[in-house]
Amino acid sequence: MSRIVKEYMGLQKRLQTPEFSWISFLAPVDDDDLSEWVCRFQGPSESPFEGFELGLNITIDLEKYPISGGPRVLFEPRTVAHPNVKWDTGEICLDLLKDAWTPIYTLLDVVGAIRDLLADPGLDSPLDLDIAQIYDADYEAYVQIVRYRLEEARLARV
Amino acid sequence: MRGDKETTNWLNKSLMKQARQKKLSIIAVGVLSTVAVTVGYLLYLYRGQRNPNIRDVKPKSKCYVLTQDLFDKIENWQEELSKDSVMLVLPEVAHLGNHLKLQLSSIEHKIVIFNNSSAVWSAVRHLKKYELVISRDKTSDMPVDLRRYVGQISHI
Repeated sequence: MSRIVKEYMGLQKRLQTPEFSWISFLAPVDDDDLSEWVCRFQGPSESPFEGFELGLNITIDLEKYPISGGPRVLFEPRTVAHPNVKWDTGEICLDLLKDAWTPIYTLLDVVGAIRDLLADPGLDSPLDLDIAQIYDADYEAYVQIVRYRLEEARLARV
Repeated sequence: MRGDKETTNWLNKSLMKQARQKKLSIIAVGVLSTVAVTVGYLLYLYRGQRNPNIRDVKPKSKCYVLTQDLFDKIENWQEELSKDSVMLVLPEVAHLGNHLKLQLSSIEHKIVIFNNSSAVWSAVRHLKKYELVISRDKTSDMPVDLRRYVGQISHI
């Protein structure tokens, strides 16, 4: 049995524990194809993302996962304004998704690391330079820009 | 004598011919330079239209940079901000931003108040709205590259 099948089988039980109560949904798009997943989770508390639900699109190369590569994870495009997220594509700059990936990590670890990144951005190599500059120069304005973007995305979905 | 006169005429004609050719060459170089500059400019404009920074921007989206002047000129901010618009409030008029946030509570998220002026320009770049509405006297404070991130700049 492949690792992703094992993860899938144990996932729903783990999602019901208090540890992962902030995840509203994590499942494959189609039960017969474990290469495409979606996740929805609550933004971390005491961050500009608090009170908003965020969406991730996860792609897994079933031939490579988890030994030769981790999942490819993107935020829903044009939703998350963050120094380490490319606005137009939702691409995320996170070590764990690139060089720091090892097979001990699971999908839940990845989603958890992304949530932590939202609350604590890395400014050394930002994907969105302008948002990084706002974060650095005027944190209160950064919070308002993040929430403006999230609110507009939420209204667009209604 | 006649031979000398003919030689002089021949020399004059030859000099005139050379002068005419030089003039034609200068005109040709001028025309070619004009064509090259025009083609270059058209290519520059074309590239500007294809600028990925503003390629996907909705034509009616607006970004207001609030100053006292702009605040006084626009009467109905509710209407202005109800569209695909956002307001960036400069630090010196933060009190106006706070006032508008209270007055327009249903769309207060569209009003962003800044403590740092340089962050305002970063926000304009990030937001990439089609039209930047700004007081004329603030235009000189704008970074030169800002025009690449908006479709047009308007002064009210």
